[in-house]
Amino acid sequence: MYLRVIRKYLEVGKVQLLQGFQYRMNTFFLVSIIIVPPVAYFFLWKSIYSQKEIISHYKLGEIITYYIISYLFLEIKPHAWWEIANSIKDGRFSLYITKPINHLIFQMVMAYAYVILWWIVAISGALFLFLIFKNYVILPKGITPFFLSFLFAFFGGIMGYIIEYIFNILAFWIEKPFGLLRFYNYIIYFFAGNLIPLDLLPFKKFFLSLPFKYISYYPASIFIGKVQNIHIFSELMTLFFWIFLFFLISQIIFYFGRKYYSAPGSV
Amino acid sequence: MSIIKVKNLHKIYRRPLKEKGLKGSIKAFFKRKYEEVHALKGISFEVEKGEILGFVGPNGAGKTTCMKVLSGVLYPTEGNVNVLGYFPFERKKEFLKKITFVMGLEGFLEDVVWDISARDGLYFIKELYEVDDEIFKRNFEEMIEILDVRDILDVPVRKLSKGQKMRLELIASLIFNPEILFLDEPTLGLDIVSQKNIRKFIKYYVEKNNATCILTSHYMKDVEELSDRLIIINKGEIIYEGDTRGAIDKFSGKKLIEFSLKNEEDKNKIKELNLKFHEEDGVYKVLVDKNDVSEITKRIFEKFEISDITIEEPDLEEVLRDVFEGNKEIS
Repeated sequence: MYLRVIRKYLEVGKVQLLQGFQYRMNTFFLVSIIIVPPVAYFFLWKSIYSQKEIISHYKLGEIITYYIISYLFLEIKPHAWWEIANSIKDGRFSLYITKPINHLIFQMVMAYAYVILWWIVAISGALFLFLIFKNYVILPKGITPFFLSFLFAFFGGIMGYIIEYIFNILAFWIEKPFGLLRFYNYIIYFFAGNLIPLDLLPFKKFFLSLPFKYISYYPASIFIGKVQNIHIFSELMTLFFWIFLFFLISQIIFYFGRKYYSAPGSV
Repeated sequence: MSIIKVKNLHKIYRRPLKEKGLKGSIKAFFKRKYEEVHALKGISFEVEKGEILGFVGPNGAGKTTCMKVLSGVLYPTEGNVNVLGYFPFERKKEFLKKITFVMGLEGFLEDVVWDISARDGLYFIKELYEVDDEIFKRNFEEMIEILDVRDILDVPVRKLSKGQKMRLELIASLIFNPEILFLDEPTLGLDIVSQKNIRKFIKYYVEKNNATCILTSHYMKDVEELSDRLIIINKGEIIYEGDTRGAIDKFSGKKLIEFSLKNEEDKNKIKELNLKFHEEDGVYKVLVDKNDVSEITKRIFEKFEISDITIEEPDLEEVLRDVFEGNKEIS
């Protein structure tokens, strides 16, 4: 029975992947998004490091690699933009809730499948950056940190998606939750550690206790060897706890929110 | 055996209000006003297994709202709803696999998988509903044959015409063998030939599978040809429940006079008859009391040169138009 359910959602992913191939040119143009900001950060940090060799505990190579990788992880994560909120607002949401699917899982699988193509592009972009900054970037020591950083980025992406999904389904009550979602997408750069590594911030204990670090700060830190292996298992469990908690919250909001859904329009 | 039981169903919506213009927008920004819309006012009915129930009424009568409650899309404000032993709003997987909701203007295939081929879209539906390979293959072959879509299976859904999309949406809605069909305007915007094919197919599916169907349509032909029973709903209340003939008898002790004019210029004088005419392609139609038929026919002949005239029993469409346009008091 579970195999059947897995097969169902794999088919959802496959279909979305097929759709993505229809717009391959569009996808390849997006490569610039992954390249331009880290290049800008490179010049900024290079000038900062011209005075010092080490800032806090980061060397220039580590900080450059951190930015490329954390940016890559933020960009390859699937998004629940405002399509779901829109569907609640215009009534297309009805098309989904009459199907035997979990709406969140369905949307998330679709979103992940949609970004798979983008992963290929983004990783190519990151490799290109590694090549042009080859004298600065550092690579993980062995396959384990490499694998673990991507594992955390994957599950961190799931958590991030569920949070965005929650903002979307607030549309049951708030007619247009787009402002909230936009606000979240701005602050996430800061809270996920894409602007400045979280351990360089004041009140770093506070920032590191929040779940947002798993979106890019933590996976990027594993990549550059800043995390001790001993902590990784407990951090993974903490990440799973956050995923479970946000999933639960999303399902509760979904259930009660649907009572307020007015299914406008013909659908 | 009743498989749909609705008792004292109420549905109340809250709708935001906004005064006109910029001032209204600014006021609404700080303090929004809402109004309550009582879409369903305590309706009760039951549907038997294998029955096709026609649900008719003017726009905003509550037909679609009722179907949305029955399919679990909307939460009922008050009352009991039982479909196949389930409370629809709970969205139990076993329940959702037994029902289908065809929404005339929008379809799942078109919304979700519009970039891929229709064939891939139907296989996608197969996996969503966890349909066995054998059942799917049998239904697939049969349905694409009957609805004549074999030639368009490899075309992306978005490239298809409205009629082609509707036929595919219908296949996607029935390929998993649902027991209950909620069909909301399944023929909306289609040409006459497509409408006829879809009606034929719905009838075939329901008879073959002993399925139950609730149908709403603005095309009375759909309702007349398909429905075993009719519910007429207006302003959230059921005003009639019974067969089509009974509805015509209840709301119309009338005859339908149809005529066309020999001289086009005479059409300006039509008003002088002081009757509520409905014009369609140069044919003037009016419902009149049976007792007044001879007198009105006489007046028409006196006033105009007539190229053709018929007097007959009105069909359901004429009767309902008369009812909903307020020519007759609804009791």
